[in-house]
Amino acid sequence: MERKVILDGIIEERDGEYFLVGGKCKKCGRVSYPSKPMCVGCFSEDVEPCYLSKRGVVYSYTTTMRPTSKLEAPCTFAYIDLPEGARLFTPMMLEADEKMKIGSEAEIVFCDLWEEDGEPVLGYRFKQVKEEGAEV
Amino acid sequence: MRKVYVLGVGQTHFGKTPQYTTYDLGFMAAKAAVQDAGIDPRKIQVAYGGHCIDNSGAVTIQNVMSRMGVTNIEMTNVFNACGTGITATHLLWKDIASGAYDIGIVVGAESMTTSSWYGKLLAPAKGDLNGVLGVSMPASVGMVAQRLIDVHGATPADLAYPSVKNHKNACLNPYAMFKKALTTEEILNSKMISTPITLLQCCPATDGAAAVILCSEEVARQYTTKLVCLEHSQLITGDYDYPGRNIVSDELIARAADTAYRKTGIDPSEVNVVEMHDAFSPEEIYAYGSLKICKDDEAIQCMRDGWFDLGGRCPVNPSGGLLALGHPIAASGVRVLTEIALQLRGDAGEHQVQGAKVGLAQMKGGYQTGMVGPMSGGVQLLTR
Repeated sequence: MERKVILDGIIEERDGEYFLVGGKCKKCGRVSYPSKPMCVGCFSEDVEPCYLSKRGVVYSYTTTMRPTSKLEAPCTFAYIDLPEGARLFTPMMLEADEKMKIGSEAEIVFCDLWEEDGEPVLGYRFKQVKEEGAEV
Repeated sequence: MRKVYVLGVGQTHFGKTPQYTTYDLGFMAAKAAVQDAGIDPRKIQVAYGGHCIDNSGAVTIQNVMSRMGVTNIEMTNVFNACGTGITATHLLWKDIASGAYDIGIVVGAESMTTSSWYGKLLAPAKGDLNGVLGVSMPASVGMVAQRLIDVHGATPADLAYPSVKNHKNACLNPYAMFKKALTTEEILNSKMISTPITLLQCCPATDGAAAVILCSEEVARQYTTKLVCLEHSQLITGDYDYPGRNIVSDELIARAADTAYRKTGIDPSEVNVVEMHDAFSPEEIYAYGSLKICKDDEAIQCMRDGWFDLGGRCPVNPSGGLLALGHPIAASGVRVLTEIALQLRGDAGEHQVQGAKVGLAQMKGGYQTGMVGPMSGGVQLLTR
């Protein structure tokens, strides 16, 4: 991918759609994110890239009031548990007055997070999926 | 393995002292420990030092010891995140226990106010994915604290409680950075750092140093009748976080504590005093259960019942802890051992835990993407 990404190798584009790339061990099936050259479960080096689910569950969250990265503060972050077993740390995309909830479903949104040398840098946020029928 | 004894302890006043370098602070603590032990410093056979985030050179222990006329012995500097100090004391404990040496010193020192980190939130290394995205230590503990509220029934006042307790304790400690008791309201109403953690639930950036002299039983009996034994020291490192682990349980520290209890035959109910990592107030709450000084699922209630207060069933951080005594990073892992030794000797002054016979020192730290923490840490059990 020619676009600048927050970290090399974690996002892939296929047919105009972005995917989060983890590593899946061909021997024991364990999935890691970000991918590691060696399986952390069985130490096999036979690890292949795999696309991760786009939805997961909010494990916990916090809103940091001071900038700790190139993202503006305050910024809400969360741990998201993916069905594959990986837990990832992510900035959230929240609507005004939206409350975070542990256990809620969340979906990845690929987006530019900041600029470096005038170039947008691709990353991701997660947004909570509204329950059907719930009031907005 | 031989029994290992604490012969001398020393520390500087903890606070903001930019006029002193890390080396200056280390020397002050080392000198105090040598005086406390009542030995000629040239008796020291091996020395460990540690500094973690300051900008000084990388020869802390050589500089400190050379100021006392001690040169040409084995000296090693240790660097292991907030676990630096406890790692250094662990290495010295192994040297004495194995019989490699009979007496040695460990010095942990940190000048944080002169560090390039001063005023910033500590974050993971460059290139670490979560670090790039903006994780910080307060954010990482903030997420644990949020689960304490949402899943384990803690209230905001519960989260603030260790800070209330430790600031109260620090008022009795002449070495403490902060000597002002705080109310729950003052803590909860202070500036929000990373929800639900407020400023007064965070430890300060502190300058300071601590030193400990360990020795064999034979050497200890030559100098003192107040024998304090470092019964066991257990280090741990981080582990992979797959499958998603319960971040509220601190299972790695629990494993270190279990090993220490098993190796010494000490039952957790025998522990009279604990000094531990409380860089953020909520950290104490889930450590009580991990260290087995109460049941995991009863920690919040035991805290509300005053178990961990001075005068309670098992006082935790009678010194004031990192929250109020202060947290010069590499010094803290040594300082928890100096404090427990003083408590067991009965020399802790106004914050003495009366009749303490068994004490536990714990320290931990570090963060890395894809790992469950702490990256470094340890548990030490002491008796008199």
